[in-house]
Amino acid sequence: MTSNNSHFVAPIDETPLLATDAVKTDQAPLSLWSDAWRKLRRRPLFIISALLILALTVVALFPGLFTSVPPNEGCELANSEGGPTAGHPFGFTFQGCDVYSRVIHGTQASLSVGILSVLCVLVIGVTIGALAGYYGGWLDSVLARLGDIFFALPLILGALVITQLPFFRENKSVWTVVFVISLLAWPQMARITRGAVIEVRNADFVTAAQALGVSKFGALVRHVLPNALAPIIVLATLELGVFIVAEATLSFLGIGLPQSIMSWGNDIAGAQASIRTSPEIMLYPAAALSITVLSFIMLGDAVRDALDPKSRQR
Amino acid sequence: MGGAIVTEGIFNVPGVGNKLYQAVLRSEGPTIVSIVSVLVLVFVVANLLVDLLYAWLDPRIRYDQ
Repeated sequence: MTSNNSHFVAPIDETPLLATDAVKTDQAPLSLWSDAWRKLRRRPLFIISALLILALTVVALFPGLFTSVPPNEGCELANSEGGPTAGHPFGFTFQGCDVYSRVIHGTQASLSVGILSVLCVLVIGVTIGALAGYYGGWLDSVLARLGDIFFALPLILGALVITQLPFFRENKSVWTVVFVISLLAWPQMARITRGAVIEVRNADFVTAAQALGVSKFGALVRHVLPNALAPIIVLATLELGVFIVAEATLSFLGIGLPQSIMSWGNDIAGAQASIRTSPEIMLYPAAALSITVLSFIMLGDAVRDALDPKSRQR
Repeated sequence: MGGAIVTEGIFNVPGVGNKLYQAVLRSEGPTIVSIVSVLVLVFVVANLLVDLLYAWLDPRIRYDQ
C-alpha cells in the first residue's frame, strides 16, 4: 500500500471531480414504498391474490355481467335442491333459487361489509392509536384502558350481545353489521398504530421538523403517520378477510345481514336445511367465501414481507 | 370462541356453543348474555394465563417496572 492509505478521502488531483460527483439527480429516490412495490411485483403469491381480488371486485361491482338470472326471481319450488341444468350450472337451493346467481350476487354484500368495516376501523383505530402514542401521558392511559375493555370481548361473542339490543334487532342492514364489527375490532388497529407511532415519534426528522416550526400536531400528520403506515396497511389487509368471515358468521347465525340482502353467510345458513341430502348447495357459497378470505390473507402476507426491510435479503 | 358456536351448531355437539346457537336462533336475550358472560370470563382468564406464561417462560419479560 502507498501513503494514500492514511487518506480517508481520495486526493482531488488523483480522482477526477466528475467521477465523485456523478449522482443521477433525475432518478427518482428509492423509498420504502417503491422498493416494496418492486419486490411485490415478482411475488407469485401477490400476483395470484391481487388478480383474485380484482376479479372479485369486478363481480361485486357488475354482477349482471356474470349471470343473467335475477337472484330472487323465478324461484320454483319444483326445482328444490335440483341438480345443475343448462343456464343454472350450480343447481338450485332448497327454495328452488339458482345457486350460481345467488353466489354471484352475494359477493357485493360480503365485500362491501368487509371494506366498510376496515375503513371505519382505520378511521377510529388510527386516530385513537396515533393520539395515544404521540401525546402519551394521561391521554395514552385513558385510551389504552378504553381499548382494553373492547379488547377483552371476542368479536363474534360481543356481536352476539350487541345485536340483541332492540334497535339492532329491528334495523338489520349493512350499516348495523359494519357498526358492530368496527365497534369491537378497533382496539387492535389502535394498538398497532400506537406502537408504530411511538417508534417514529422520537426520530431525528420529527425533531428537525418541529425545530423548523412545524406544530406538534402538524408533525404527527405530516411526518410521523406517513412513516408509521406500513404495519397499519398490513393489518388492514389481514383484517379485511377476518371481517368478511365475521359477517358470514353473523349472517349464518341469523343476526347479521337481513334475509333480503344476498350474502354468502345467508346462503350458507339457508343451505343448512339440505346439508344431508344435497351438501353441494352449501359448498358453492362456502368455497366463494374461502377463496375471498384466502386471497386477502395471502395479499396481507405478501405485503408484510415486502414492507419488512429485514426480510429483504433474498 | 366464535368458531365453537358455528361448529357446535352445525354438528349438533351438545356443548355450551350449541346452547348459545339455539338461544341466538330463538333470540333469547338473557340466555345469550349469560352464556357470553361465562365465555368472555374464560377468554379473559386464558389471556391472563398466556401473559403470565410469557413472563414465566421468558425471564427477560417483566411486567413490573
